[in-house]
Amino acid sequence: MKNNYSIWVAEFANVPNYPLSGLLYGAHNQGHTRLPYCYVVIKGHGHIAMVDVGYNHKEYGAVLAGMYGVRDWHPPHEVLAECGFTPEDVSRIFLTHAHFDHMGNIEDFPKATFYIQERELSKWVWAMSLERRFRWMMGGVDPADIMRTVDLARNGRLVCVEGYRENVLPGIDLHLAPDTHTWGSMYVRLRNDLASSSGNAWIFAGDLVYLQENLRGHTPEDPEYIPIGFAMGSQFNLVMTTDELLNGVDGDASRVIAIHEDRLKDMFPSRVTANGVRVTELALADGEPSRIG
Amino acid sequence: MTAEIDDQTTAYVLVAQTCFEDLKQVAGQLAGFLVLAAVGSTSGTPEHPVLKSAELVYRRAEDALKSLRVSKPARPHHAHLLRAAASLKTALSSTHRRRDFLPLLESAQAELLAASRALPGFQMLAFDRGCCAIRK
Repeated sequence: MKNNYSIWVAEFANVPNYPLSGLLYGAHNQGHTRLPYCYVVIKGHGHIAMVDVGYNHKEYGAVLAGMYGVRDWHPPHEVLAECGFTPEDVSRIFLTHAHFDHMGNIEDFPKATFYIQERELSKWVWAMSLERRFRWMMGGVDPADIMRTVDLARNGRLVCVEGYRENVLPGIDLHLAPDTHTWGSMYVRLRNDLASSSGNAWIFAGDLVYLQENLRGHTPEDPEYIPIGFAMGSQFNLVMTTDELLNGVDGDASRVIAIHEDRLKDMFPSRVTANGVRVTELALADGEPSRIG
Repeated sequence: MTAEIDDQTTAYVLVAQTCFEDLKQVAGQLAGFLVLAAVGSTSGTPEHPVLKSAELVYRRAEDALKSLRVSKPARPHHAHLLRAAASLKTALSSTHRRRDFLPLLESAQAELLAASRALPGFQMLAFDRGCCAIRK
């Protein structure tokens, strides 16, 4: 199978004990699981691209560690070095949504152009115009991120996508999943053979999927879609989007990449580096050396 | 950050929290408006409801700031809120004059961040209403 891109998932922090009910709809009192925070790193066609950028440790690291149990944060220069890159090498970043742990660290990527759905921005701004009693809808969004986004836009480094956009890089498409996890969540489909009817596609789902169980239920031989536990939009839209995600990878659930899924490391080659960064390797372009060893 | 605070300061914290939240919201609202304008969104015009809301929320915060009873340990915190409010007030007036008010927002944000570190009970980001962090 020919690969045009190499793809890694890099873990930059984790929560050791996260309630399962947040990840899987209805899983109340069913315990906790380890929740990794990761971003996706893609190399090919003369670009280093990423899906999401993590959170702003400088401002919130102490609060997240002390009050919310987030551990083992590593800066992008340390994480990317494990794949042989620097943050300055990154030229394209696809932001799946505007939550702090996905778009909170844009300032660390000074040369990248960022892509986000217009709906994600405009609906957040709309939500901010509502009265205080609606503030639940602003949870997870950091006004400081929005200020940094202004600078990006003015410098021509922010691309607002309206719905579907094909080939933002060769073989990489952006899809809108409206009113799901957030109002304008986006997922990224990478056709690694560049074919329009790809037999070698990957989907980077952002927070539309947390676990394999969201894609196939508890019984893989009798699959069922179970939405994630947190929806700004609706569980219905999440379920329908889950079907769309699986259709985009010919039904192969292992190719819908959920960056909070701790078991990715068991599904693909993976290693923990000397300074504690986990790197999972999804694909290697022809001639690209493995980062797993 | 202060480990233990006196009753007067506790009372200050309880009242100041809403004021702090309101100032944060105004900063976010104005920043949001700037984003829409910067990306050329059709909704990024001075008629956007977020600007009207920002003015209302700001007035509420300003009134609350004036009525705060500030204990001595709370003075640095209060000073941060006052400076944040001053920046936001100027930013709000700039929306009508088409001046760039992003530096004012950044200044307000820095003051609010400093306030969040000056006393307990003030969070810059509502992690507990987010999806990927659960309070211990």
